[in-house]
Amino acid sequence: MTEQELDQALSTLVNADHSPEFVARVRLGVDRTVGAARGGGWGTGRLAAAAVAAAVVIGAVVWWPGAGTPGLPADGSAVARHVAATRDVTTAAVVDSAPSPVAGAADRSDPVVVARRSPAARLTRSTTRDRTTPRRDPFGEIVISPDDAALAERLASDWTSDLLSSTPDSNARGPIAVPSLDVAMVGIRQIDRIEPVQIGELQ
Amino acid sequence: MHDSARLLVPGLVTLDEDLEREFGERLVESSRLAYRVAWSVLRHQQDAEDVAQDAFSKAYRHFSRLRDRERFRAWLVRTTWRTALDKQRANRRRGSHEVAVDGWSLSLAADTSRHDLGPAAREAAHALWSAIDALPEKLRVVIVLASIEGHDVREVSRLLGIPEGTVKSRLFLARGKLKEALS
Repeated sequence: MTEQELDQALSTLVNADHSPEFVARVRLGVDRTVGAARGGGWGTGRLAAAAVAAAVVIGAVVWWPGAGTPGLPADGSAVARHVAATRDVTTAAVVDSAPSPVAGAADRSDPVVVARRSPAARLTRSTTRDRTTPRRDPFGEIVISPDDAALAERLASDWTSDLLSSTPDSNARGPIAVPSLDVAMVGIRQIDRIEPVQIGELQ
Repeated sequence: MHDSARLLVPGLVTLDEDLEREFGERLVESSRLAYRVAWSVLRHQQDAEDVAQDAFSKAYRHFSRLRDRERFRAWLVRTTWRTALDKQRANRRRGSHEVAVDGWSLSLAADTSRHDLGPAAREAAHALWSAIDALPEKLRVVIVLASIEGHDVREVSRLLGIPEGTVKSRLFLARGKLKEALS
């Protein structure tokens, strides 16, 4: 075989032509690749952004301070402090009123234990059934100015002294009938405590 | 793209449009080259077109670094060659080598420009292909590229990124082995 014959044979072998639609097919394939890359990238980015946004919203709802107790003011306000104090009191009452596993009949003879089971204690315990929703104190703190407070105290003391002085015999033994003081309740705090009960009174 | 985006980033939009246009030009002028490189390895029309298309898809993804015409053609030839070899090895692993060889014969039969080939010519072509396949890969790629579109030594040197002297020596060795195998 001569050099020329070899060149001719090689050229005949390798110089084949592709199909007429090959270029269009390559264009279509490139367009699909580019479209998929752009669409996939945009779709992935949008999905990631939506996931992050959803996570932020859920986190804000779950962990935001005051979430789950709508209507409560900020922690710094007087009402919020009062609610927090009430919550502490009721929690302590739950601890005190919960029967211990070793508690038995002997506890019933304990004056302190009996006193803790007084109606006041039961009332306190009933208020702690719903721990998640702090209840508002029906005797809420009344905020008045110092001048008004002094005036109210002076009014109450004057009224009491007038009533005592009007009795026939202030030195007489026995109960003294005192009319109800509707107005003098202003500025008087409710004493929230449990009075111990003597064993003799129960018998 | 939106008109406001065009106003904001006119350079970027123009660059993308230029890239698209240039790639279209490269595709038209290099499609035959890529196909023939793949064909010389696979001798199967559908496989060769698939390999060439894959090479063009890869080239498009890297076209920002391949804007130079010579660089693009060299990159395309080497990528197509490697991809075709991978395809050939995959076909052999699947036991379809015989199918590929038969595919070459079927492709010849389907090619209208080669319907005039008689049985003797077909047998000679088969023998030449067998001799080419028997060459070492470095010699094979040189003889194939030199035979495609009448590439000279300088062009083969550019496409393969090797010195012209190396191309000459490898071409000489390859031709000698082919003549020896066909004599």
